[in-house]
Amino acid sequence: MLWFALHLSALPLEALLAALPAEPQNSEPARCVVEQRRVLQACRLATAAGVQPGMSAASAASLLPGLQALPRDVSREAAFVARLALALARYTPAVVIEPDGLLLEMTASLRLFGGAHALARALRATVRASGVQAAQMAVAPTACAASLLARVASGHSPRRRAAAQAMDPVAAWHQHIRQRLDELPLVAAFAAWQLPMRTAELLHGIGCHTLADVRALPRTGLQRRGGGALLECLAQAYGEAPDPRPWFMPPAGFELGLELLHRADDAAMLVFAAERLVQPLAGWLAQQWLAASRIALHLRHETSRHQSRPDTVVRIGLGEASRDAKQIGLLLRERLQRTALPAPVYALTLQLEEAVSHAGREAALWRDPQQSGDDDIRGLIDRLGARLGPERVQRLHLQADHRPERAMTTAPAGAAASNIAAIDLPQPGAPRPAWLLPEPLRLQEQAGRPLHGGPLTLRSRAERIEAGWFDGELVSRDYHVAEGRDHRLHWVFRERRGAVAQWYLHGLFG
Amino acid sequence: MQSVVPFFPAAPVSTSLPPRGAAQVLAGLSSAGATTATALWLADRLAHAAAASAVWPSGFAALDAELPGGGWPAIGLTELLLAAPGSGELRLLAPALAAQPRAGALLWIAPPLMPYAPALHMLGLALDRLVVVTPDSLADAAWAVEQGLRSGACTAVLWWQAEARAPAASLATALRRLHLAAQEAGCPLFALRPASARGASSPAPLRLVLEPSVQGQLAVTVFKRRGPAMLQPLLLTLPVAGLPAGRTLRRVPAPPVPPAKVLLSEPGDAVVRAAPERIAA
Repeated sequence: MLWFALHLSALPLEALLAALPAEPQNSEPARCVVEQRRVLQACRLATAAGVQPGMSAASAASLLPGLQALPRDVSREAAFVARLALALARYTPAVVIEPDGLLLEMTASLRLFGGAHALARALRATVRASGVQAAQMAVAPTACAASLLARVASGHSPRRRAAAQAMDPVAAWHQHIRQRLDELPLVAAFAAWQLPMRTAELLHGIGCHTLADVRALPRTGLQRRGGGALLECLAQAYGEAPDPRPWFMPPAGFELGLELLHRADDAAMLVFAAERLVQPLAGWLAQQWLAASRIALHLRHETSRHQSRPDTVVRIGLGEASRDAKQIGLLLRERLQRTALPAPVYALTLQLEEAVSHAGREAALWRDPQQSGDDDIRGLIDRLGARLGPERVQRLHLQADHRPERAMTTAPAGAAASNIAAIDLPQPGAPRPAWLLPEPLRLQEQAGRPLHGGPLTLRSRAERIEAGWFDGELVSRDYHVAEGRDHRLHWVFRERRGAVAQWYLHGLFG
Repeated sequence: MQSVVPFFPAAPVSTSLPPRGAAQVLAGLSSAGATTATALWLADRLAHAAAASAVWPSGFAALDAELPGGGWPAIGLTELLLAAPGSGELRLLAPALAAQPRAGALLWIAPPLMPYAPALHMLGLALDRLVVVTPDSLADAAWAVEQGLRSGACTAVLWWQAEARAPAASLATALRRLHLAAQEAGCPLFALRPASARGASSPAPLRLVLEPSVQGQLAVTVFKRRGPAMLQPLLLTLPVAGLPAGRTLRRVPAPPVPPAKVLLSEPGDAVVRAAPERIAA
């Protein structure tokens, strides 16, 4: 077994910070978390000003007048850990939630992610992207030991003893962890396991300072003197007793909410909070072997007795279904920055509306330039559409119709590729302009010649186009290339229907 | 037939030899190594391209002879100035764009009118690679250009910049930024700007003015390049989409005014009666 333990040492503070709308840079106030009028945790700014955990809220406020004291919120902490569990579910299905951390069993994931070191790096990156600054990680053969090491012995990792190197690497590693456990101070283990401190004082009094000292004591005597719980924990940490843990079960559908600590007046302030929801989405999608093709971000407004506002919904369709947190986050950010809010927002919910099954892509030995180029183009189209609106990013498609204005259609580029591009028009052997006016422009006439910034000189004989009787939009026109006074080439036609033949400008040869 | 009218009978560049002292310096340089020689640009000669892949042949031999390196720069900003849309800008660029491998997207940003797909198809452009973006504002357009360049997904980016509403200084800053982005991405950016921008400063190393001329020709003046000044415009005959090669446009008499009421005798025979053989040859 290979257990990775994550201990979130600043969980009370970070769980609250994740629910704050982003403030403009450089105006971030100092904050601390207060529980029962005592400071529980202080942010970096507050610590620099001398605010210490355990201090009373009043003296902290007197040290730093602008200090924001946030009351501790245990339910937010649980939600924060659950979000992190979702985000990390992409690495292993075996996740255990602890009150202030996570345990992940990774034996089955080692090969896929390229070994323990690569896995640890990937974990750290995901944890950081989820908004966790202070996280301690430890790896051990048992869940209890990993959790204890992450809490107590973080930071320093003593070198393995030279004698161990001759052994089998796994056995050597087990022995190394055992030695590290032996050296742990007893008081820290009691704090981590939340055992009664009275027993710790008793053991300290008889000269037991480390776990090894306790394990050397006779078990029966220790059990009789109130050390039963300690013995059980020790056995679990050393792998001598079973340690069953309930696995984290991800939900069947994805809908994740985040209630803000205070209101956001501007959609750009929501970007930070929305990004907190994207990592769990990506982890959940990977765990379910899905890829998102449409997601919706519901922005909940305050409802009062006088009026209730419906949620503002920001819907994002992805040209190609994806579970890449970076790409989804980018699209969300672009859209949010362009969204105008009708009222302040108090909560947001990220919902997966449509997903397709996606088993991942097999790794290629060489990068396929065609495939990656297509992916890049789709990503670019999504990005442009997210900010400018999908209808402003278009592709052109040919259509089999002789009427010039119907020989082409435009379609949003982000839409699923249709098959109309397969039409292969015969080369008509007649000139076609590179620019087409949206509507034919009626031209004045002078001595039988059309006028457009001066008289136009016809440069080609008539190309007669008569079509459209079948859908009631008959055209009957004679098209010419005409040169203007500035020598630009125009595409003009004479309408042959109606009482008077009328000249129109239909395009320009770019 | 002669498709191009050069303004000098012989190649004007190679005939102007540097003075004797400079020739010795040059000889020393060429022995010093090809890299030095290509990196060095003598102001009275056209600059070389750093590598063969750094230019795209324009498809017009006479124009290639006037462009540093022998073609459109494949990296960085190039400016084409035109008085009005429809001056021949697409027909000028189409051969070079059509000759590129069809891996990346062709991003057209803020075109003045909707590009007409059948004509582009006839000019050889791949429609499935073409993405047309129509942003609201100049800032959005510049953003879209930068996204296109930085994504690495584009073969080329074309940006139509309408009347310069923005202050000239901020526009020059935006162009410099986009030029740098294009250089970093290794992607060409063609900015199609109004002719009034000729007097404004620009970071583009290559700037041209396009003016339509008689008989569907295009007068190209390269007024900024790494090379000697161009004295006379170059007249190019451009292909017209749909016209077979070799056909040119000539004056035809105005058609007689048709009778007042022309309707199809039978709905069933409504077909296109295009008569290519009657187009003036």
